[in-house]
Amino acid sequence: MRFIIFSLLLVLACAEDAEFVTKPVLNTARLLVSKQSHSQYAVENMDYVIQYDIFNIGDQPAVQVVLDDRNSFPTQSFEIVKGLLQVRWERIAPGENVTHSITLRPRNYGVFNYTAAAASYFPNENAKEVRVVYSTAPGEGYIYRLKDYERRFSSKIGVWIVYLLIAGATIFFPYFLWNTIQNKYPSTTVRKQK
Amino acid sequence: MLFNTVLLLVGLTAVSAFSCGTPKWSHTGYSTTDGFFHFKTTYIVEFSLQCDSPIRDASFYAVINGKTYQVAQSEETSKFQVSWQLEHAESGSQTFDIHIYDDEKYAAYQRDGASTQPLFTIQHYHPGLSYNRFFYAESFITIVALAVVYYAYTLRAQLKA
Repeated sequence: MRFIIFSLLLVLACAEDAEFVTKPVLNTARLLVSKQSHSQYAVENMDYVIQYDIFNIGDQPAVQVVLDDRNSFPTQSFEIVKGLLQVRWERIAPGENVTHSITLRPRNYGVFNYTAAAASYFPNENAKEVRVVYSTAPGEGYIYRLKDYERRFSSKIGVWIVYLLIAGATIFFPYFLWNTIQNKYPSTTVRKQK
Repeated sequence: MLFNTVLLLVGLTAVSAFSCGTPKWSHTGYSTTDGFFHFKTTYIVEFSLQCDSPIRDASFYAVINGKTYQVAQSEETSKFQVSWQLEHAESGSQTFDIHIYDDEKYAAYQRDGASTQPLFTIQHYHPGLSYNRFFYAESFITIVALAVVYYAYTLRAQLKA
């Protein structure tokens, strides 16, 4: 009963009356850029996917949106498998979002600091000055050795076959010897004569 | 005279949408093939395009399986990139048809739907995913080992009796 009353009060508190609460008119485009990885781990010499999402939460179209992430992935640390690091969209309408993905391959293992990408845009059709916004930065991550990843995740069928061969030898060799003797000398039950 | 200049200006502004004449294009594509390592399957297609007129202030749109994506243009080179993501369950082996529209053709597409002819179509072959389906060898071998131990024990008991 108390739970019902509490949840009703919560609903009333959260409900917005459209007449009294109005969204402020921004009259400008506002972009939010998110940068996230779409791979579970970063492992050297294995594909690592990064996705950028750009959302326009303003009420004007963002013009000449340039996303630049060339500084985040130096060529001595990452190899770009596919994807462009500096791209441009002509217009992002209000409420629209665009996504951009790149596939990388780390060259070395160790700690890596994933920094933010920069996006620059004109806030409306007639703007003269460019506005720069930074994406979310995934922060510090660890790039694992390929050896460690395979030790944990590869199918170790080779290891199991070797194990079965060795274990089989220790079990079946004595059994084979026993079987030979058994066939050579058939057992005769000698009953003790009372 | 004034009326003529006004008419000319109106005519110029009306032709502001970019229309690519005869496109010359080449493409490369990549898609992730690991169904375990990544959360979703990512497809990236890069293409370079040459039109009759130099491409300036033009946006292109890609329509893949009914969904529209805005094509990203490289700042440094004349390359374009389309990228999309799908769940692993929808990413079996298949060929994707990527219809590219320029501004004018895309406006026609929004009016008429799928019957509009795209500027050109890129075909991207996705070979399918490989999974790390772990056959839990440890459990299987433990069961087999226990079975062997049980057999040996009963055999020994039989022989002793």
